[in-house]
Amino acid sequence: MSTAEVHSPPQTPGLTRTPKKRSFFANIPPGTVALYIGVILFLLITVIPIYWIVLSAFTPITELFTTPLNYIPVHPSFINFQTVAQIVPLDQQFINNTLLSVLSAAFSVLVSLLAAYAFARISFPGSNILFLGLLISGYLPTISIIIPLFQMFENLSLLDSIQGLVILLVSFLMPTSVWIMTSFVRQIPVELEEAGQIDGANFLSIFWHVIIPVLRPSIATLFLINLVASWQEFFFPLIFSRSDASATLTLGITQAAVNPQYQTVAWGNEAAMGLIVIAPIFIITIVFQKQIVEGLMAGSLKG
Amino acid sequence: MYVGTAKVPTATVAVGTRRRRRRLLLLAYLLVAPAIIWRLAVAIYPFLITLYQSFTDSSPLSGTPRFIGLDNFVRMFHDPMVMQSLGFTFLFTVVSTFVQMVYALGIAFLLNRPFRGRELVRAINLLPWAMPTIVIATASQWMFNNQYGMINDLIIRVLPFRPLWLADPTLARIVVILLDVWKNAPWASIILLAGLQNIPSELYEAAKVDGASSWRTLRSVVLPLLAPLIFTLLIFISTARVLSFDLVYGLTQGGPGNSTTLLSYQIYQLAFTGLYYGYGSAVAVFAFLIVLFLSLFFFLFMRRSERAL
Repeated sequence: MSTAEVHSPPQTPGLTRTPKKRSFFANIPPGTVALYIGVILFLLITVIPIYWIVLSAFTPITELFTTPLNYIPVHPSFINFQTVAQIVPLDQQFINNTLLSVLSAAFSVLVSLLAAYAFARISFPGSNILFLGLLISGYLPTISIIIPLFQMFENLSLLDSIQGLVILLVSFLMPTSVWIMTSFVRQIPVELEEAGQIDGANFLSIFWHVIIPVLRPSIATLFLINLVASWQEFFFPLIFSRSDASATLTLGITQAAVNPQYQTVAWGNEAAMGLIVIAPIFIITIVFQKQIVEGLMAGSLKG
Repeated sequence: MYVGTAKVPTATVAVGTRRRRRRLLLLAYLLVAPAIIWRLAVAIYPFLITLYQSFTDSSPLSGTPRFIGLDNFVRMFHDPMVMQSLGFTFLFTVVSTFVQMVYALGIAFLLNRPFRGRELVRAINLLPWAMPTIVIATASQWMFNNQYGMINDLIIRVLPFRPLWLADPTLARIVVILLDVWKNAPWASIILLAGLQNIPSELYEAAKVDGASSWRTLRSVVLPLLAPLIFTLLIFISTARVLSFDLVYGLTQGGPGNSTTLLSYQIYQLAFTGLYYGYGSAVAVFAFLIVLFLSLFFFLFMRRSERAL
């Protein structure tokens, strides 16, 4: 963070600006105007599409088709949400989506934590090969393995089940999770465990009483990142879900548009459905902003 | 991922008796086993099957798959649909990767400067990253709608025309690229921001003392220091572009015509609409080769830029 302060002008005590009446803008250092223009442009680009979804979601469908458009809802209503609730099995999909993302995040963290500890702390024959192999396997494109996976899951009766989707998603999250977790474990001072070993504690008790407490923030960080990633998953449910039993909210989006009442595509429904999908994950992202950013940075920089 | 730095093993466990050592090794293998087995079963093994099936005419509609050698690959290069999707995938990857990198650098420089409300802006920057692509895709169908979309509503207030965004092949391609950049640049910008914060402030001060302009500082100090990170990011960004699926599925379904069909969408169509498992596998193997090539390409650049430091 400290580098950010470099650009601010040095403050010399005797040389403060004259207290004479000057216009407000004269006090702004050069470059600042450009900076704020940049920030405002960036905010507009980022926020307007999201605002568009929120706006459309609360606008009754009859008022969506106006030219020119109203950028403030004239008659805000929940009618779109009510229609969506009739077309799409929202409860079931919400439960499925939550189960899928929580279980995937939990399992990927657990499995990668175990592996990361071995990779970071124990030197064993083949550790480099296995570690690199895991990372490189992350470059196998999902689309290049999806056909045999579909055939396998068909034979194992794992199609259209949350378990099946969790198995797929955990595998997908594994390479990066092991990478991030290993870098987290490497940051713990070894002395902590050595102290435990001198006391004669066995591995399990060291792991439970020393490693896990120290790693708790890192575990939370990785869990959050994987949670956000899993929440957005669309491709696996598209291929592997066959019914409401395992359909997620992301799949529901494609259903919400079809409204038998209107012959056209029901944009208001789609916007309402979109908002239902993004609201929970936006809240989590904003609340845990710090941890998420830290985790994203850790995955790429430290090794 | 700096794969290179992972090579140094940390031998930190105290040397004990032979029996203890053996138990420790057993423990290590037990710890990595779940991760390894999971990947072997759900990624490596299916990939080997894809490789095998790419040489067959496997399909759930026909009986036992026959081995047909390289026929699928020959067919692929004579298939105008696949070739067109390869063409757009190439264009999409090059343009979107480049624009994304430039935009992400811009965001990172912006968010690295001090200004009021910076924390809030950093939080807002995470929103596109947290937003499912399929939501962006469906919302954009409406946003880029010719008559009632927001984009044309804004344009018509200034200019006297309404572009047919999603009906015109070129415009549809531009929309796909713009949305892809909007969704994915913030993630790259966060990582670049971390890189910027790692640059010691003395270097900026030294450049200032030398009388370097800010442009010169950027070119001679900041970018060379960021180069390894930029090339690492380019591996991620470019390979993910080759494999993009959700956006095209939700926004254009590959249209108008076949103009926005990306390779992944083409493979999905071949395998799950056409039920050509064998042929689809061959195209999927080709997709893997492209990803492999791109990764190695940027990895070599990354190594070179690291040595240059």
